[in-house]
Amino acid sequence: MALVEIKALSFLYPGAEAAALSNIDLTINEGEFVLIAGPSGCGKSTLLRRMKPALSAYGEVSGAVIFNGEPIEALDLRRQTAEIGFVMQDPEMQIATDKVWHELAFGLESLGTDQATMRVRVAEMANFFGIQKWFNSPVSELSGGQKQLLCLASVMVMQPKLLILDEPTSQLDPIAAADFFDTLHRINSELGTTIVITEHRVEGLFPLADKVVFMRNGGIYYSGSPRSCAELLEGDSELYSVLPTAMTLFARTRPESMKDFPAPLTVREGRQYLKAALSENGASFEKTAETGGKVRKATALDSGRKPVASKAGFDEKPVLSMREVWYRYERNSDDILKGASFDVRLGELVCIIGGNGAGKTTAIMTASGMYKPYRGKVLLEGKPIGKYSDGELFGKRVGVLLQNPILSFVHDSVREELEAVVNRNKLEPSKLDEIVSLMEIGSIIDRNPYDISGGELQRAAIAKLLLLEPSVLFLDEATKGMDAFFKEKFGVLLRRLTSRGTAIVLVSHDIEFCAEFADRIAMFFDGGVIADGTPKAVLSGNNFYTTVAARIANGILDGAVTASELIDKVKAAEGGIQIEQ
Amino acid sequence: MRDAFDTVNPIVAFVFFAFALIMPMLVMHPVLLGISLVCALIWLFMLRGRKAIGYILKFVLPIMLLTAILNPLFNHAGITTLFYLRHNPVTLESIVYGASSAAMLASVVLWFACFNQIFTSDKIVYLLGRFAPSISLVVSMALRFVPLFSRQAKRISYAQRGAGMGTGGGSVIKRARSGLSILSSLITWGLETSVTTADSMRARGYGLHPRRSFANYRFDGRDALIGGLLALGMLCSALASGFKLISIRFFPSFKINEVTPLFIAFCAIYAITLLIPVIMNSIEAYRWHLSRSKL
Repeated sequence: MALVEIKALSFLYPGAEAAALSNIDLTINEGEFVLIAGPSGCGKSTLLRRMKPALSAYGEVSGAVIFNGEPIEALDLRRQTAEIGFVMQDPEMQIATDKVWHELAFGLESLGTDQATMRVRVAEMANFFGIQKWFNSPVSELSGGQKQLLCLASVMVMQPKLLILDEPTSQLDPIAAADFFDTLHRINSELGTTIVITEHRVEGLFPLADKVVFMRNGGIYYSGSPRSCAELLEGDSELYSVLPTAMTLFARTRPESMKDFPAPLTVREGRQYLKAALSENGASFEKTAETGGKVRKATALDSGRKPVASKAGFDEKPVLSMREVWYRYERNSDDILKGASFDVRLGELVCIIGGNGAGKTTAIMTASGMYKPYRGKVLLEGKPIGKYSDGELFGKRVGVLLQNPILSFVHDSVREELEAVVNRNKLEPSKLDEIVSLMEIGSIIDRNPYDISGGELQRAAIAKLLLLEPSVLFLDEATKGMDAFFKEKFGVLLRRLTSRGTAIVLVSHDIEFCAEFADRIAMFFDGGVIADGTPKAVLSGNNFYTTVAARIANGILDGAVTASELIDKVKAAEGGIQIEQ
Repeated sequence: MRDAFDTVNPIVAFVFFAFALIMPMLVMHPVLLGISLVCALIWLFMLRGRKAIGYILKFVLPIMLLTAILNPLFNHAGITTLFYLRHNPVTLESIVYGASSAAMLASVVLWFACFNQIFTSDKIVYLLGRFAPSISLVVSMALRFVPLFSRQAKRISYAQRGAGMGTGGGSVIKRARSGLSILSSLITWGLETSVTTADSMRARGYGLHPRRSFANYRFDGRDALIGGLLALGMLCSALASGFKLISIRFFPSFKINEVTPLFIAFCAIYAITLLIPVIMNSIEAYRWHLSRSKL
C-alpha cells in the first residue's frame, strides 16, 4: 500500500525564477527504504520538506502530496508530529534541551502523552538505540555520532509511520555514519518504519535501499531499484560520481558477455564481479593476479591518472616540520599527541587521516602554532614556531581554517569579509580580484555567507586566507558535507594552489578524496603518525582503513587505490588478456 | 559517595530546603539556630567531605565574624550597657543579636551549600515542569545554549586568529573592535542556527497544548514517608510559634521563654526534621555495612 503518493508536484520559491521542484511523481510504499540522491541544490531537501507540512517552505505549489490516503495539508500539527518524523543535517543544532533524557522525551511532552506511556516509550527507545548508558548525560558530552543518534531516537519515540532524513550523516565521520546507517536499517527491518533519506554518502545506503531516486534540477530522472540503475544510467558520466564504487566499476568495465550479471552494490559483490569479469576473458584470476599484476603495476605508473605534481618538483627541505611533539590540554589530562612527527614541503598536499580522537585536529593546531606543545618542537622555515609573533605567523606564514568555515565570517557578505582583510593589511585591491578568480567565487561574492552552500563557503573561507599568501594552509575537515561534484572541483582548486607553491595540510575522513588528490598521506593513530607516504604506499596495503576501490581490488588487482585507477586497470587487464588470446 | 537524599523526589527535597532555609530567618531563637547550624554542618561534611572545611573557613566564618562584630559596633539599642567604645555604648542585647544574626546567616549559607549539591539542573527542570512546563523547557534550553555559545565564541576567536585577524596584539581599540566583530559573528551564528533548532522543535510538535513534562523522578513510598515526617515537623513548628513557645525578644531587653519540657520536646522534633538527610545517610551506611558483613 502506498504511504505517500506525490502527484505532479511543482514548487516555486517566492521571487525565484526557476522552479525548485517540477512535476514530481513519486510513490513511497509502506515499509519501503527510499534513497534520494542528486547534487546539492537539486531540490532534494525541498521535496523532503513537502512531506512534512510543519517544515514546508511558503511558495507556489501545484500538484498533490497524499499521505496515507488523505492530502498531507489536512494533517494537523498533532498528527504530523506523531506520524511523520524528520531528522536534519546538523545534530548540534537540532537538539533543544540540555539532557539526553529530556531530548528523548521532547516530542512526547509536546503531544501531552501521559506519564506512564511516556516512561515506557522513552525506555523502549533508549533500549533500541543503546542509549541507556548516557541516558542521564548532558548533551554537551556526546560525540557527533551520538548526538545524531539521539536526534533520530527523539523522533522515533513518537512511533512515526514515515521517517524522513535530510543528509543526516553529512557532519559525521565514516564510522559514526556506518553506525547510523545500521540503526536505520534496524528501524526499517525490525520496526517496519518507512524511510526516505537524502544523502551524498551513498556507498553504505545503496545496499539498504529498496528504491533509489535520482534528482536533477528539481526533477526526478530516475526512480527504481538500486541494482537496475547502473543499466539505465549507462553513459551518464555525471552520475558515476554518485554511484557506489562497485557499481561504477561494473558500469564502466562490464564485458559484453556479462550482460546478465547482477549489478554489485557492496564491496563483497564488487569483488565477486571483479573476479568474474577477469576470468570471463579466459584467464583465471589467480593467474592474472600473479603474472599480470607486475606488468600492470608498471603501466599504471606510466599511463595511470596521476593528478599530482611530479615528486621531483618539491623542495627537499621542509617548510614546516614537527618533531616528536607532545601535547595535552590540561596538566592532568591525557596526552593527545604522543611524539607526533611530520614534514610539509612547499607545493605539497598532505592529507592527515585517522579515526576520531586520533589527534588529527590537535596536530594541525599544534603545527600551526595555535597550541604550544609541552615537548618536542615545530620548526617553520627553520625557526621554532614559538619565536614568531602572532602577527608574523598567522595570515602571512600559516593560514588555518577550522572545521566549520562559517566561523571565519564576521561580516555580512563575502566581499566585505575579503575587503576587511585587504584594508587591514593594506593590500592592493587587485589582489582581491586575483584570489576571487583563482578560487572561482565570483558568483557568490556579494552573497551572505549563511546563504551559500558548504562547498562554496569552504572556497570563500580559503580565499580569505589566501589574500595574505601564507606558505602553509591548514584545513580541518574541509570536504565534510560536500557532494561529489563540489568535492572534485575543490580537489582541483587545491591542486591549483599547490602548483603555485603553497603547502596544504588537510585533515579529512574522506579517504577517497585523499587518495585521489594527496601527494602524501599521514595516518594518525593514538597521537602519533603510524604511516606516512604516497597514497598508494599508505592505502594499498591496508585492508580496512582504505578506499572502497582498494578493498574491492585487494588481492585481485593489487595497487589500485582510486576508483578510476581500478577501472583503468580492469580495462587494461581485459584488453591485455584479450590480446594474449 | 552518592548522598541518600539525592534520590528523594525533588518536590519533597524542595520543601525540606524551604523549611530549613526559612525557619532560621523567621525564628532567631539561639537554641534553634544552633540546632540548624549543627545539622547543616553535619550534612555538608557528609556531602563534601574535607572540601567543606575550606568552604567554611573561607566563606562562612568571615561572614559570621563580620556580622557578630559589626552589629554591636553600630547597633546601640538595648538597656544593658557593658562598656563604652569612643563614647558609644556597647550593649549586651546587641551583642546577642549580632551573634544570633551571624548564626542565622551562617546556617542559611550552609543550607544553600547543601542545596547546591543536591539540586542539579535536572531537578529544577523537573520541579518547574510540574507547575509550568514551558518555563521548564526554557530553563533546559538555556542550560544547553549557554555552554554551547561560550564554546562557539572560542572557536570563532581561533578561526579569526588562524586567518590573521586575531584579537591578540594591537591597541586596546583594535582589540576591542575585533572582539566586537566576534560577538556580532556569534550573534549571527546564534540567530541563523536557531532556525534549525526551531524547525526541529516544530517537527516534534512544539506549540501543541497542553504540554506535559516528562517526570524523570517518581514519588515512591519513601518519599511519602519523608514527606510525612517533614509535614509533621512543619506542623509542630507552626504550633510552637503559634503558642509563643519559641518567641524571642532582643530589644530593648533580651527576653526568652523558660526552658520547659515542651520546649525541649520541640527542639528534638526540630532537630530530627533537619537531620532527615543525615539520618537517611546513616541508615544507608549501616545497611551497607550489614550486607557486606553478611558476605
